[in-house]
Order: sequence, then C-alpha cells, then structure tokens
Amino acid sequence: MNYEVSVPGLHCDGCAQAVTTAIQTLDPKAQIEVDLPVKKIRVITQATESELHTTLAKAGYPVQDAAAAVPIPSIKLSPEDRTYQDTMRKFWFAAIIAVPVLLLSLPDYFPTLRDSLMDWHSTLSIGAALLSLPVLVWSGGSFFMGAWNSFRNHNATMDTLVAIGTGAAWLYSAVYAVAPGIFPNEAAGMFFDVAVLVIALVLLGQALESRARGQSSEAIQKLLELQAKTARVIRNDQELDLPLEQVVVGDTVLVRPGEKVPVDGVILTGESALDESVVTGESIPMDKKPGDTVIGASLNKTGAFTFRATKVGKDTALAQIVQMVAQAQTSKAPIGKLVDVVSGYFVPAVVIVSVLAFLVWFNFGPSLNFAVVAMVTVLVIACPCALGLATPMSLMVGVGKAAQNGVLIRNGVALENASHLKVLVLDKTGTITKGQPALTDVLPLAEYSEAALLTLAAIADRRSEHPLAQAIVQGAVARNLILTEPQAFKAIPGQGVEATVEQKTVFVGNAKLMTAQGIDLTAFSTAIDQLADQGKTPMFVAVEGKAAGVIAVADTIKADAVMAIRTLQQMGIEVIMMTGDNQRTAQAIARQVGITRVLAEVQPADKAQMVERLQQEQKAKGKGKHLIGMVGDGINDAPALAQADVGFAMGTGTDVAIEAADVTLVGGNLRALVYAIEISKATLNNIRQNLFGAFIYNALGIPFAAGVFYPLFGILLSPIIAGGAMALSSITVVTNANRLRSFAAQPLTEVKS
Amino acid sequence: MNTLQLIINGLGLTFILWIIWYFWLWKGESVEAKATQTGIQEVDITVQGGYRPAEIVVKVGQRVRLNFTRRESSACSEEIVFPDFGLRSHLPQNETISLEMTPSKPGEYEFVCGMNMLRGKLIAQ
Repeated sequence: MNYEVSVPGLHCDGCAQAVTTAIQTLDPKAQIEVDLPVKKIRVITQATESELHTTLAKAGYPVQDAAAAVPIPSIKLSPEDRTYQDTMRKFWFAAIIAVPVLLLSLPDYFPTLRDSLMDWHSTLSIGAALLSLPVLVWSGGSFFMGAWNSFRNHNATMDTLVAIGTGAAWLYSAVYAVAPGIFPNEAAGMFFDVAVLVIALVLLGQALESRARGQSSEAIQKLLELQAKTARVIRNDQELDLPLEQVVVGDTVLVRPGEKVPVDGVILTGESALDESVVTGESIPMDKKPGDTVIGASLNKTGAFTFRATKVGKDTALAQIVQMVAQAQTSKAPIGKLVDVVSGYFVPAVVIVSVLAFLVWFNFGPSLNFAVVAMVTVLVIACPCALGLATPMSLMVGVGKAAQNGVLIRNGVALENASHLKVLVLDKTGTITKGQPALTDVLPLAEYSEAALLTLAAIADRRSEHPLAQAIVQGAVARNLILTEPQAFKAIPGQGVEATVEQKTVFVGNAKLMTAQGIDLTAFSTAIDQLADQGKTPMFVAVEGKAAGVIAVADTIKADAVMAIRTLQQMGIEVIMMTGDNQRTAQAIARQVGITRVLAEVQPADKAQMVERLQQEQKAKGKGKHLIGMVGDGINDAPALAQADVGFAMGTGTDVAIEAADVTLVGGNLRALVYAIEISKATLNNIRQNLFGAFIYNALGIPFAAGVFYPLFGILLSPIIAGGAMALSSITVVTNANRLRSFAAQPLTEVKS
Repeated sequence: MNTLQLIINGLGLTFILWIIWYFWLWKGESVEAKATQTGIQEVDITVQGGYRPAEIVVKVGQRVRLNFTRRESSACSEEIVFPDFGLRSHLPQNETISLEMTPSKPGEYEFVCGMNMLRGKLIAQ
C-alpha cells in the first residue's frame, strides 16, 4: 500500500533517519521517502496504516491526523441541533401539560369559582400536583440536575435559580394540597401552573437562544464553506482529483474557469481574473498572470491556469483567518470586565434577595402566599445569562463580520481601542500610495517630441533594474512606444544610466548625474520646482552631451485614499502622514489626499519613537482616552505598529497573520481601514446596549419581583410573567448582537473637486 | 412575633449566612498536573455543574493538555472558554474534548463556561 503521512515532529536529518529505521524494522522491504521541508513521509509498504501509525508514534514521531491539520474551534454541528430538538420536545410536553394544570388552577384565581368548588378543591389540587410532576421531572430535569451538580461544586447558575424557583412553588403548593390545614386560612392558593409555565418558557427561551447563537458564529462557518473540497493536482503528468487534505506544498494544481482555487500558491502558466473577496473583501476580480500569488478559496472567473502550491492545510490564508477570527471571538473586551466580576457573585446574591423578600413579606405582608410569590418571582426573573452573553455575543458577531470584509481584528482589546481612536498615523509608502513609482510627466525641450524623448529614455533604461528606470520603461510600454535594444548600457550607481541608443550617447538620471557630465540644467529650474511641489521625482535626459528634457516619476496614490481619509476626518479622527520623504515631496502628497499634518524625513528606525511622542502629546491633552492608531505595512513598520495603541497592518497577498498588528487589513486598501473603525464602533455600541439592557433588566426586574413597588402602587409581578421576561431577556441580547450581522459601512465621503 | 415567626426568621437569616459561606467563602482544592513521558502535563476534568478539579497547577512553559468530559445535560456548561489562549470549544455530553495550551508566563489563567458563570483556573508556576 501507498501511504502519505504528516509528521509534525520531523525537524532534522536525525529525525528522518530515526523514522526510516523505525519503519524498516516494521517492514524491511518498505520504500520510504522522507520530505523534511513539508514534514511528510511517503511509504510503500505491506504494513497496514494503523501499524505504521503505531510504529511512528512509538518512535516518538506521532502522525498528525489529516482532519486535525486545520484546527477549527467551536464549530457547532449536529450536537447543537440534537440539543435544540431535545429542548423543544421538553418544551412542548410542558406546554401541553400546562393547559389542564391552568384549568385546574382557575378556581384559585376566581374566589367565587373556588367557593362553589370547595368540596372538590382538594381533589383538583392533588390532580394538578400529579399532572405537573412529570413536567418538573422530565422537562425540568436538566435544571434540577444542573442545580444539584453545580451545588456540589459550590457553584450556582441559572439552573439553580430555575430549580429553586419552580421547586419551591411546586412543593409549597403540593403540601398545601395534601394538608391545607397546616397553613393559616388566608394562605390559600397554589402555584402548580407557575412551576409548569416557567419551565416551559425557560426551555423555549433556551431553544431559541441556541438557534440565534448558531447564527452568531455563522461567519466562520461561512468562510469555511467557501473552501474548495477537492483539488485537481498534476503528478507525474497525470491529473488527479484529490481531497484538499492530500495536497502538499510543491504540487502543481490545475484550476478551470468557475472553479475555486484549492490552496495558496503561485501561478505557473495561464492567466485569469480571480475573485478574492472571500479573503480580501474586495469584490472586483483581480487579473493574475504567471508569477502572481493566488489565494485559496478565491473564485477563478475567466481562464484556466496551473499554479504551484506554496501553502496548504493550516498554513493557507483562509485557515489562518479562520483561526485568528476564532481566537478573537473568544477573547475578552475590557468593557466587559465589570460584568465578569458581577456575574461571579450574581446567582447567590439573587438567592439571598429572594430569601430577604420572603422574610420581609412573611413578617409584614398580607399573607404567606404573597411572601412565596415574591420569593419565586425574584428567583425566576433574574437572568445571569443575559449578563454573561452581553459582551461575548456582540464580539463574536462583530469580529466575524469584520473578517468577512477583509478586516482581521486580533482580539477584544484591539476592537475596543479601535473604537476610541482620536489620531491615526498613516505611513505614506504602501498605505496612502501604492509604493510603486509610475511615469507622470514628459517635458521635452524644443527639438524633441514627447514620444521621441520617452522612447530614448526608455531604451536607455531598459536594462536597468532600478524602480525609477522601470517606471519609465513601463510608462513607455503603456503608451505603445516601440522599444529597441540599446547598443551599449552602463548603470551609474546612485546617479542613473549611460547608454548608446541609435548611435547617440544618452544619459538618464538625477541632477547629480547631469552635473557630473557637465550638462547645464538652468533651462529646467522652473520645471524642477513645479515637479517637487507636486511630489514628483524628476529624471533628466541628455543626448550627445546636451539636455533633452525631463521625465517625472511619482509614487501613485491609491484609488480610495482621498475618500477614505476624508471619511476618517469626518468621523472626528485626526489623520497624520508619516514618511521618510523630504518635506517638500511629503507636503505635496499630503495636499493631494487632504492631510494637513505631516511628519516628514522620519527614518524607519525612528517611526516607533515618533508614535510614542504623539502618544505623549495626546496624553498632555488631559482626561479621556486619546488613543493613537498607526497604519503601516507590517514589516518595516512593525515596531511602530506595536508601539501604537492600535496597529493596523496593510495586508499583502497570502500573509494574513501579521504578528505586530492588532488589525490586519487583508485587502491592503484604506477603505478597509474605515470599515475596521466603523465596525469596531458599531460593535462597541452593541455591547453597550447589551450591557445596559442586561443591567437595567436585572436592576429593575429584581426589585419589582421582590414587591418593592407593591406598597406604592399595589402591584406585584406574576411569577409566570417573570419567567417569560427572563427567557426573553437573553434572547434579546443574542438577537441584538445578531443585528450586527447586517451592519453595512457607510459609503466613503465623496470629495468635491 | 410568635414562636413560628421567630423560627422562620432565624432559619432565613441563617440560610443567608450559609449561602455566603458556601458559595463565596469556600475555597476549592487545587490539583497539580503530572507530566506524561512526552512532557505534556495532562489533567482530566469532569464538567458537572462546575469543573472538577477547578484549580490546576502546572509548570510554566510546558505544554498542558486538559481533557474535559461533560457529564450533564444542563445547557449552562455546554461551552468551555479560555479567553487568554483564545480557545472556545463546545462540550458534547459524555464526550471527552482535549484542549492544549502552553502558558508562557507564570500567573493565573481563568477558564469559564460560555456564559461566564462557572469558573476554573490554570495556575502556572
């Protein structure tokens, strides 16, 4: 048999040797191929798969389960559904029994009816007790078991409240039904209906809540569903349809139009347009040619192509995103800290309040009944779940929603801080601009046409690898100019190039080059000033020792930059640009994108220090949170990103888990930055609503239930309504969190030109 | 106030004091994790109205594996969350779910149920 197994423990040649020896002891004829870089072993052997696994495990190199390769925490599958159906069955049972129990309890609500049925009262009561018992045992069994189990561990939960509440109601009524004589006269009244209906309502609440919670964690599930199931791999000139787990790094994979890219890789042959919205949130298809990277789970729109797999399994961009999102969803937000403290004391405190309510009404209230009702109502209205769910639910939905739009938020702290940002520092290159210079102006002197000048310069620059030279060449190609080969070429480091084009000596380069060659630049002085004011870099062209013209090259501003920056400013955020460029160039770019404050000539090593200085500047402004965000490329700007209160990294292709960043903008555009801040604000607002709701609910509900308003208004809450309210409160929290799923960012502010 | 009232009030107040002691003042015992041959510190935890044991002492910087087995149907304990490690897992009834983590710094790492009611902690020393 032919096996291929993943062995994560394979680090070195020694390991490879040990593994080989171990397998050879098992089967001396085995053909073994150890692939160290990808930590895989391919074996052809007579032994069975389990023998192979045991042997490897014994040798200290356990096999990694293919399924475990992509660890996806907390995806709720069938168990959730089973629980839901179980709960619903228990609910229906309780709901149906509730009808006759309610009918039997009617006499208690209508004194005239009670008087006329006086003789039957005892029988009816015992009937109601017997009818409601199965509801407590079967439907409410999990509450009683849960309460008992947590009690043994010195814990108290929602189960405790429901169990004591319904248990006390039933027991009190049952004792009264059997021996009404032991209670004082005015104590008449029974609560079998309360016990049954509260259990029914809480069960219904749980079922609906679990439904809604399934939706909350939907984002990750959706991301995973977008993955391709199989890959068409070409091995030994054969096309094989392989399950995703069997694709290894280095495989050549074929993708046809309309299919999904199975793993991350680099295109070998063919061209196509790919919809990468799964990962980047950007729905406009990207054109890809050989040498470009492709991201797993993106959709191939137009052409067929082959690519070499570079990342598989848990290393793919999608797997990293899923893992990061799952981690962020479980993290805590500082805003929820108070609740964490409160919820630890909550349930016992409620039990204490209920006992106090009972005692107060027992001593000073109208009847024993009244005291029992107050006690039971306090127990069943209190909802620890609403408190506990308030923060995590919103965080889960908000972080998931952000991920679907190409914004990866590392944790709750990052999200909360992002919502408080007052200042955003944007690195220029790669953030505001594309980081690739492009040709902008061609200014020839009299005897040349634009095309002629550009053609000369481009041919001269053709063999140079300098980005500025490349920009000129690409500019010429874009203008459909025909470029021949230069007859001679020499690069002059730090200055430019010298080439022979059409038997003429051509120099292309900076002012230094021209000065060195003794070429007079006075004719260009106005042009030089103008270009500098626009943030452009002039490149001079000289032919046969005489100036021929200027060609300007500039880093181009990203499409969304102007609008995104305007939108941020309108949100009340001060936007600052940071760059290593000189003041003049920096100011020129800043003017174009509408930024007033520029930190120019900042060396890469000083960026972090600069952020720190800004932080101190903000702190000096006094009270409140004055947080600073830094947006950069994640590699050169890593220290500055780490120094900032929130570091935003512009994503590049498949590298999504940027360590230094609190937030990764996978698509690498500023629109995502605006989205990140908007979703953070929306999520935090949602958390605030939830916390406020849950706190207010308990803070008003519990005193109301305890009968605090009775002396004033003569009203006491019915325990049945209290049970319904409690069930509703946690559903409300989850539903409110789910509202975030339909969050849509505002369109970027249009800029009036 | 008659005798019955005195008894009931006395019982009620005693009950309150007992609640305070039983739920708030009571301290559980902590269990020290034992390392297996492969160097993983492993502890089995029963989830039943709480975590038994609820306090686990481990060595810093060494892999920890906690095997959670949920032995109840109550919805309260159906999820386990380690906020510091970014782990959240569903705990199906009567199944053992293993979670692994490596505490890199000494300190206390809390783990809670999905609704933050049941708590336990990992103490790294």
